[in-house]
Amino acid sequence: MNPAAARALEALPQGLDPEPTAASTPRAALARAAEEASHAPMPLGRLRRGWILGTLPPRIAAGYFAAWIRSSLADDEGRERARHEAHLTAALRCLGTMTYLRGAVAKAGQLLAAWPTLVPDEFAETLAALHFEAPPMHYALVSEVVRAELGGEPDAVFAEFDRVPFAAASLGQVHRARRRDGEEVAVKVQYPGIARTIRSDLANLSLALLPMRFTRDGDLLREQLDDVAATLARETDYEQEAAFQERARESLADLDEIVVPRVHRDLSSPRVLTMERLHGTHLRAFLAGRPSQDERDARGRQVMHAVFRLYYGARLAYADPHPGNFLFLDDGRLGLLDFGCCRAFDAEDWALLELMEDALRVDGDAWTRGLLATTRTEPGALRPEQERAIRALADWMWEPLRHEGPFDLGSPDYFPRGVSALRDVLRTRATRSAPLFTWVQRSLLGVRAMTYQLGSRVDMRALHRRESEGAFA
Amino acid sequence: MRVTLEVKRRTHARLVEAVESLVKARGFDSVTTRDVAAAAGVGHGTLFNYFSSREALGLALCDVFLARAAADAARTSRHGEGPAEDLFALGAASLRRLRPLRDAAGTLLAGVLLIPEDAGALDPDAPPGQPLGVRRRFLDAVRSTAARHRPGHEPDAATLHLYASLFVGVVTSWSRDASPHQEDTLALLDQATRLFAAALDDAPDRHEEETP
Repeated sequence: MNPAAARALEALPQGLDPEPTAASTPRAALARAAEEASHAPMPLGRLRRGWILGTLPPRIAAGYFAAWIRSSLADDEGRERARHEAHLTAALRCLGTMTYLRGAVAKAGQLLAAWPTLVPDEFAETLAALHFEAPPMHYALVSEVVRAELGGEPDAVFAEFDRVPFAAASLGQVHRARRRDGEEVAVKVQYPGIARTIRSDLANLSLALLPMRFTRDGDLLREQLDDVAATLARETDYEQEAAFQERARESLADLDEIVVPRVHRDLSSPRVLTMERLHGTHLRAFLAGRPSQDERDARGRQVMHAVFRLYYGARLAYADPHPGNFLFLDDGRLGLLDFGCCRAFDAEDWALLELMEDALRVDGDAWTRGLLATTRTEPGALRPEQERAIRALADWMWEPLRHEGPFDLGSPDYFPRGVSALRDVLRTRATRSAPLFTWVQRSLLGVRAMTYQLGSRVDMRALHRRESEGAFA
Repeated sequence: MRVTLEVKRRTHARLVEAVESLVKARGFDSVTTRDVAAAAGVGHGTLFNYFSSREALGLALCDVFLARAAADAARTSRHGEGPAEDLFALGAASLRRLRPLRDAAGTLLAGVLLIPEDAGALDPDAPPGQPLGVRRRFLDAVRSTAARHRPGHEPDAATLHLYASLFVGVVTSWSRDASPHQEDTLALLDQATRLFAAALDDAPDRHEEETP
């Protein structure tokens, strides 16, 4: 096994397994199944260039995927548990036979990495790099997709079109181009047919997992899977992504420091998304330039401002806030890229989020109400240590918002405490939550991880107060 | 009156032109040999001196379309990064040209592309439409596309047969592809050409084989 994959599998939440690990335990069988699934031949042929469907990330993701599903089995005992483990092992073996599922698993793995701090650094770096590695569509195929979607080959539709992509995107790749009116644009092109195939693969997986529906939390497992499926469906529809991007752009329009690329609807379709091209650097290059503390603070403030505005203003969880989606523009502005992985809040979601904020803000009844609503549990169902773990994590999340003045998000102490709190939540198996909170948590933790790396000091309280004012009125 | 070779060629060409315009207007399923003969201005019986059946006419049209596709691909080829890309471009150009015959092309081509090279009791220099000629011309285009990236290393008969099988599979699947813009066929063609390119890489090197 690849050492990075071995480390990642090793990093699976150990607390989920009450028994010692031995070669014959269900846990070992699961690890083997995940490993086997990841070794099955790639259906796309010899694509060895580290695309989202490449070999290493799904291998790791499969391990996390197993852990995620296993968390729903954690309370089953003895033979029952072994039986469910067997079902799960079978389901994991299916992964190897499904066409694109490992792409979906890679995505699911990234969702699970909403607990990013449990992930070894090497894995985090692999995931970060994944977004920039050369994707596999050659130009002849790109050209056919563009022709089918926009009615002409790239050379006919655009004044210029780079044959070589400069970035990987949601299940596709991004090319630099120039419109006929001279404007520079970035063109995302999706691999043909992948969206529908992923949907059908996920449906197959749901079927494979049917025997688990009677387990404790089986309903939540199903709900989470449905939510992943719905989100993947959105993520593979560039028209939906364009809609999110326009919603975000409008919401951030009055903030001079932040920019969302304009969508060129006339050159976009469900499989091709053309947008304004921004020039700047990503986190790694920014940090390599040894920025001053003031610069770090300014960038961190921009990141937090953008995410708060999207959350409270546009009612949108920017659910994939990895470093590749933030661009530090040469003119000092912050560019937000890629709105494929967004979750829009409806009125019901918003009511739930209000309960959560109340719970975090005040103690007593509000905390209890919020806790029950967000974990979908009945009063008394949570054990005291579970409630303590959740409370500690919530307090950690809320801490910067209680702090007067600039809060040091990059302090060596703050982020690791979050890691520890998260570990406790997993250790006590207090992992029940409505699917909505997977996205909220993912967004929140992703941004905290980003600002931790930036080493920024931000007056979170003031920013939050300003952006959230009247949001729940 | 003796019919000269030149007259034969002209009549053959007229029949192929007639079937092309009829197929483009109403689809292969709705075209009869009688329609073709009438449109070409030849007697119905005379048509059978040139084409043994309606399917033979359809195959002749496939042959013409594939030749145009090879020319398209040669003209627009920017010499891709490898044989997979160039073969994909050739395949995509072929599907585009074959579009008027989409419903029938898979069946028509399966009958000729999948026959072994030495099975032909037919004249290899026969005019367009003769099965062995169709296969030979089709594989020539593949051979020259592959040779561009491995000069002097010709794919062997087994490797070429693999390509013919893959291509027939793609065309057959295409005729039933209900996905938007037939995007599933694009994906299938991509996978097929990558598979073939991999087979090319794995094929024994003839030069090495011949070295004592």
